[in-house]
Amino acid sequence: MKALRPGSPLAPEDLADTWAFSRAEEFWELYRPFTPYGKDRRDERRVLSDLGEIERLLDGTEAAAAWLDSAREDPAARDRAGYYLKRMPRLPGSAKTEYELAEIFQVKKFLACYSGLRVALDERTRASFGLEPAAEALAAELAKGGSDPETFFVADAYDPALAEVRASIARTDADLESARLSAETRLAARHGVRLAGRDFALVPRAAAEALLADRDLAVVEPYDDRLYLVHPAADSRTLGLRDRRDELAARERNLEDAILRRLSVLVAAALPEICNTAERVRDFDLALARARLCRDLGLVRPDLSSDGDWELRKGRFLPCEAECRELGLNYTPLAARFDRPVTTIFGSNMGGKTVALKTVLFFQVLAQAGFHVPAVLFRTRVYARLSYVGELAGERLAGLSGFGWEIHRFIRAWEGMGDGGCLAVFDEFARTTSSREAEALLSAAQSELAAKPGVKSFFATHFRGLARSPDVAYLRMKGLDRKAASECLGADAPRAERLARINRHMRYELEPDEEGPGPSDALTVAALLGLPGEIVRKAEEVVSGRQ
Amino acid sequence: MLDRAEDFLGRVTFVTGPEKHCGKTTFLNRALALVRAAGERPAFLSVGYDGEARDSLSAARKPSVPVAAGDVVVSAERFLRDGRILPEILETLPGGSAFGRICVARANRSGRIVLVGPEGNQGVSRVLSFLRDEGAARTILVDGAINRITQVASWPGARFVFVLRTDAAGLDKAARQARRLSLLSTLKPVPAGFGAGEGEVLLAGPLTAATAAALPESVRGVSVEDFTKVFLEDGELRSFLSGRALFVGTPIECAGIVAVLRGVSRDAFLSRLDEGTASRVVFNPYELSPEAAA
Repeated sequence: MKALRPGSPLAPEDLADTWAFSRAEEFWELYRPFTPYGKDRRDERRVLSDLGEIERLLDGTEAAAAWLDSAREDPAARDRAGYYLKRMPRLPGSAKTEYELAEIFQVKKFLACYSGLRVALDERTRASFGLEPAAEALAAELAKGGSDPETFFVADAYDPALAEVRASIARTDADLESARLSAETRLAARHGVRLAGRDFALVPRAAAEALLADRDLAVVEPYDDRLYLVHPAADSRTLGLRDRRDELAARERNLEDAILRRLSVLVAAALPEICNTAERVRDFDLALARARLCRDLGLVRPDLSSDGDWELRKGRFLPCEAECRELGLNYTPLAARFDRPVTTIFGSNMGGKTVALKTVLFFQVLAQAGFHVPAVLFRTRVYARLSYVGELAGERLAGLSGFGWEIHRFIRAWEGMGDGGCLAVFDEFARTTSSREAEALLSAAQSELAAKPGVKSFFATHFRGLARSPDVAYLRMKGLDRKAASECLGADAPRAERLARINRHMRYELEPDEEGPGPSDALTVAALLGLPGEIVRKAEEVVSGRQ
Repeated sequence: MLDRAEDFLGRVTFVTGPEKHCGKTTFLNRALALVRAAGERPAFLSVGYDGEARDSLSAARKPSVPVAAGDVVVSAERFLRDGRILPEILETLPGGSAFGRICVARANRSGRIVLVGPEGNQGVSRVLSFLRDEGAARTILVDGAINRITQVASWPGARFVFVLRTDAAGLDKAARQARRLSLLSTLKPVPAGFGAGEGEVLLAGPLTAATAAALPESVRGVSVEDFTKVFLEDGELRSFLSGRALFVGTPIECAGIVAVLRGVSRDAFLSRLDEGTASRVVFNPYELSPEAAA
């Protein structure tokens, strides 16, 4: 199984950049398994390239979602399942000859929680995830130790000899307590020193003088120039009882250790089965977490059977959708079908072309991580490599070093385009050089990428002077709805308000792009914001080639 | 004050002090005895392992902590077993300590154990959450350093006890510590909307002499997360408060200051305190009054 993830040895930088650009982490934060094993796996941020494995994850999600739906009438069953998943402890990592008390507790608690989980689920769900009964004999043996199914101690029930020793300890403890109370009572009666549950007391010197002469009853030590420290003296009977107590404690410890060794043998024998069960629990936990996302976010199963077409209908790029909601702006889901090896998206600044690229990667990453996706339809294929070439959040690629970084990232993506296919996204490639050279580089790169088998690439650029090729689809963002924007602008509205209104009339949709200068939203926006008319008119003449 | 079970029942009480060997653990024992005598089974833990060999309340070897059947304790497995308390493991904490895995256990028999607890604020918080969520105990005592109070602060009804010891040589220093602590515990909670106005500063980090000095003259009010983030000496603090208001995000209630005196009279100690501080002071609970010992 290939697992691509940030930090993995397989193209880690490439995937880390893709992950960051696509804002997949914001989706990942919503992915909340309950068990420690589920959380560990979630934190690996696995992006897969094995179609079979991805399909199995998607099947698992649907099985878990079916259970969620079936349990709609029985919310207690859902709660119980969540309760037991959340309580699952970590397990000892390896087989040992002797487990500690706490490790045996962990095994017992796991088996108790597992049993509770199974009861909460229906037969079909248990079967779907292979949640069969596990280590029942061990569970029964461990059940002897503890007042609760989820706690553990070395109980008398494990060995009659242990019960016998403990009964002797209880008698000795009672005798010791009786001796202590008796000493306390005598101390109070003879000298008025009332310990009242204290181990010792600090007594004024004057009051302690008499105690100094009563050494069989109390130990008296100077504390400072004012006080003496007093505690009851142990008589020979008490000392004998303490020795007896120590001896019994040693015997008890030996018996307990023998029981722990015996239980350890049982645990070690069952550990492979238990670990295997923990993996199945993890898979169910993760599937349930994904299923909850499906229900909460309205996700659909991606179709990964495409031979190269990439199609999305009503695809919601969730991070952007959330931002728009916060800002009170309309969000337009992406609808697109990309059937050529290379797609170029033109558009003005703030026109949404970068968001379109992010949407492409967001959906591809989610699908290859085994998730259902927020769309009406998403059709793609699985790629062995997902690459991003461009600026990342917080970076400012400018000048020679910026261009160097772009080329470095391009080469890294290019060299990684091998077997298994590659989906590569280029945002404003060559932006840091002159437009003529940038257009030359872009045209050449697109031509070569189009010829590479299994490579699907997407470019966003504002350079329009590309040498057009039949293997490249040319699209543009629809941009500003000028008529609507003009109509809604109040002549006296402050500039910031005008800008906000213009923003509401940007159309984040794709449409075919024809060769030529194309519409210029920048000049329209400048005019709407009040740039002097003569400047706008001259600029329009330059664009249309009249000057 | 601090001599009745009611002072501790149903609460989280943090037993803390300015340094090691100040008598925290012995005071903890006394509080536990009071709670048990009221028929309650407490839970208790320490923050980390302080390793002190002697205790200043008794000046004797540091006592292990007496445990009664039914108590809930937190310690390393080896100490739980060595304590002969027949521990029933209720939970294990993630990670470990130099002494092995830390567990929450219920004692099925009385005994004495050495406490080793979680090291960090997060670990303390996790244990407290477990005890609360599982209903393991309603009275909880925590033995730990002052800078670990933060996690306790957010618990409803949580309080702290400040235990300090002194002899004649350290009397003035102990009095300063008591005055400072008393003053810090009276800081008011930060008012709603504080920080938005002119001259109001919400400090994300600690308030030190350097940060205080760097504040512009125009700053009239400062807020810190809680009083453990104030690192000003008694004199510096009073000077700061003479010109500015200081607020805390989370106030922490002081249940009292326990003064453990050796070779120093109570009057000598009290004479160095202001009225507010003196009203918070109780003395060594192991010291019997002349009447009680007569």
